[in-house]
Amino acid sequence: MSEAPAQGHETDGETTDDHGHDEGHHGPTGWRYWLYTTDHKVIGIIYLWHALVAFALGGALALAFRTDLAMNPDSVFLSLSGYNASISVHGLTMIFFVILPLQGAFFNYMIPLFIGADEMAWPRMNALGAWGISAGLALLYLPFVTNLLGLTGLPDNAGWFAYPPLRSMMNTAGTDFAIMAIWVLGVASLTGGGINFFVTILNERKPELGWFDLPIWIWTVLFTNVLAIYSLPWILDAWSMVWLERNLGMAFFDARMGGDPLLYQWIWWTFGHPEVYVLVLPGMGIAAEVISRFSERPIYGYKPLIAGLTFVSVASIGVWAHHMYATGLAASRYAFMVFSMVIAVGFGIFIYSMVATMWKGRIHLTTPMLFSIGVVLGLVYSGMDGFFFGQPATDLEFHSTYFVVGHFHFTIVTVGLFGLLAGVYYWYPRMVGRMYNTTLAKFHAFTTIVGMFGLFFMLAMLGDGTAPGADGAVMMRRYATYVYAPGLQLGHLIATGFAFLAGIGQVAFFANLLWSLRSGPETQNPWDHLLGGQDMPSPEWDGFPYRPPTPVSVRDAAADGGPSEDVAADGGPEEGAVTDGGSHEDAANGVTTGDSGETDERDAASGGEH
Amino acid sequence: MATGDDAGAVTDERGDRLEAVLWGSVFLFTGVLFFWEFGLGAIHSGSVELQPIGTITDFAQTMWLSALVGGGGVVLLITFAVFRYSSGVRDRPAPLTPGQGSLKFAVFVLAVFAVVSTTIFVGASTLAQTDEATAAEAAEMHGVDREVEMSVIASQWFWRFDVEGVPVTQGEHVVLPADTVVQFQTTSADVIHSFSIKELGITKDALPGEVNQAWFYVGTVDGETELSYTGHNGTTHQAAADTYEVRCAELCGKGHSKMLATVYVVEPDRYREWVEAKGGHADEAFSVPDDGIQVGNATAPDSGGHGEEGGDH
Repeated sequence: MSEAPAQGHETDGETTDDHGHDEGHHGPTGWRYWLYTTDHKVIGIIYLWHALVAFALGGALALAFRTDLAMNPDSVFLSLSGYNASISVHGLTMIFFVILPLQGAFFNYMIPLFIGADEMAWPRMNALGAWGISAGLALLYLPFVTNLLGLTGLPDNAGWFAYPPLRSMMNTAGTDFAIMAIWVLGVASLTGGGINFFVTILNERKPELGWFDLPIWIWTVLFTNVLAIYSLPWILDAWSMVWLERNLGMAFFDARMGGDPLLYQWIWWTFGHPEVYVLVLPGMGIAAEVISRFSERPIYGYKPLIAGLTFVSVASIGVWAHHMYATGLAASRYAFMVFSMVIAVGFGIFIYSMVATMWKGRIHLTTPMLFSIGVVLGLVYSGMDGFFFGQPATDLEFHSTYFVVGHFHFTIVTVGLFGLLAGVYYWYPRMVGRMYNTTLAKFHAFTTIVGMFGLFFMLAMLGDGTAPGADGAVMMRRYATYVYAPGLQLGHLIATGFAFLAGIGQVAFFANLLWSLRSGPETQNPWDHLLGGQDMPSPEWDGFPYRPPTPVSVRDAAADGGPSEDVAADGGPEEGAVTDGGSHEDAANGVTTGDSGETDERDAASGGEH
Repeated sequence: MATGDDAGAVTDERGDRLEAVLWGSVFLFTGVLFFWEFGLGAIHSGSVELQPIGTITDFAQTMWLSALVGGGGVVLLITFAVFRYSSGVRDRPAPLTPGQGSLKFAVFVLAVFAVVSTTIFVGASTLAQTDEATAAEAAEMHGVDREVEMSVIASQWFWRFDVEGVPVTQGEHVVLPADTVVQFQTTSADVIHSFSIKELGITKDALPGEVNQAWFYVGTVDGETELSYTGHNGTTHQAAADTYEVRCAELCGKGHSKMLATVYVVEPDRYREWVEAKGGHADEAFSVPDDGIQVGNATAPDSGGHGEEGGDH
């Protein structure tokens, strides 16, 4: 792999050259260039296109079953099992082949830029991680082809969390293909991805970059990969055991042979809950970076925010059994309820921090900013819906209804995916050296925000019996038909309408990215003239040496045009108030009240005295 | 709009008032949805006649309300910020100073913690009165002195109900008495199913090889429908009844969405007549509320009575 160091050196000169992958003159060209590369930037772009292809596939499946649901209370063009296969593969695709690779795209491309490394810790492992996605995606979708050809049964159709013994009894090769897909993807993204990203942040940082100099996004990446390293082995274990049951007649979960069907759920959700935080944390981190820069203010409460994110990451490991409240769990539900509920404190800190950052800032409503605001709104929605699932009593009322479906789509899409879409728009010019079409981008933002919020809102309404025309009837999760309550059809129609609105937006998104790849206006940094005067550097755009923006550096920038040494050292905005007892009442007025510009000036003055 | 054909001047914002109003309205739309969803939730209050849903709904109402206030407040703040602080409206940002607003921040975090702690305590007591309560405790809470025991056996893709004192196994329909605690045990003959009646707030998984247990209680019958049935001697009877819909709440394969049943609840006297008409003895249909079997995920089902329930498929 002689080109690895060569590419690495190129990335050093990143201020002058933004698309090293077009310059394949050091090594192989054509397809070999892509296949043999170990350059983190090229691998990042490979990840990105994988995620986009999978996004199209998973989205098409979603539109297919949403159409089927809206047309008629009974099944229409999808058979009952075909419906189950669509939702199962939709879930597996979106979680494992869209969100994880899209995160991986940014991890690969951006981590070295953010921390001043010239390459990932293990470049070849990194390439393995990228091509694992291809193999996994092919394995997951191959059964669609073989089923059409009449060679195998349907693709996996036991739901994405696929409880045995149902899954062990499924008489289709599609299930084994799905298990193998996750093997390949899991091993690749665990070793090639998670451990690599984690070690890179730990070991490859520029020495002058202290822990509390790291941008908040790098913190979320760190937490994400710790959680991924912790959680992925559990799914690989659980699914391997199912595979052994299916193919070698072993018995882990089959009660007739002494197995325990609940054992699977314990293993699975030990993976499953941290996985949710793997899905959302990087998106939240991107939103934090974007909101800060496009509000022209440093992140409010940087250290408390890190504390909050640390708290949710650690707590996420201890809440998994709230997915199992209906299984016959007894008194342990009290403990899991407490852990599940207190997580709200950590997310509350994030929401407060984001609102306080925007408050009295100067908000640039660029496409990444719109998606980032969507992240904060989505977190409010998913958190407030989530209350009902942390509590066992209310969980039993809503368990397995569309209220859950609405809740976790708010979590995964409007928080996790919106943050990553913000990342796509924020960093796309950095990755390809060209600007996207902003009209199409705004169209995408509009349709996606309205479409997704409207869709998940309507799913939640279908699930708690308040959908228009439902007359109190509840739509159950994973029901291919709802002949028991035809009144639900109006709600399904509205939901499907929103889904198509979002779908049209994604077409514009793909068209935009493809068009911009060749024809977008060339740019080094499209945000430069919007944000140029604010002295809030970000290492992936501005390179090193890098000083993190802190509350003080902005004030000093206004006063004398440069960050001051002494206060930058103590870093955290919260420390001022603790020591500065005399003025914190005044300072407290600055963020959330204060009706006039005068208050700002006074607070600025009083806060600056310390 | 500055679409930026000209390199170096690409920009992604209009930076005018119209932009702030347009996108502020989009975010306001999400806020309207929020108030719609949580407002509708908050206006429901529980009825003591239906349990455990009545107790759950009273608790849920406080959760809906606190979500409405807390979440709705945040949504409105964000929308306001977009209207008020966008670049088209505002020339420069207010600087962020060290320690700014930290008292408010601390108060906010403590407030979240206080709300969460409150829901933890209220939620724990709600759980203790609902799914964690035994049938005997439930009977005491709701002033009832009799129970009916029912075994629910799930299999792909239908339900069977064996009700104590009733000589026939019931399938798509099951008849049960009002003003009586119904203690039920669930198990499965094949894959995992879940016995749920959302109108009553119960969901209990039916697991192969294990037995779960819970209860529900319907106080009175409104008579929204009429139950007609044929006695074992060919006579036709009618009784006023309410219906509650049974749904399978765990994906169990192809027929999952068709795995439905209906519970008919009739007044206790009508229930006695129904049991007699089906050839049973009304006296044996009711029993004294008890703690049932000891179940839980860690405890193997006691092999006594329940083996035969699981075994007669």
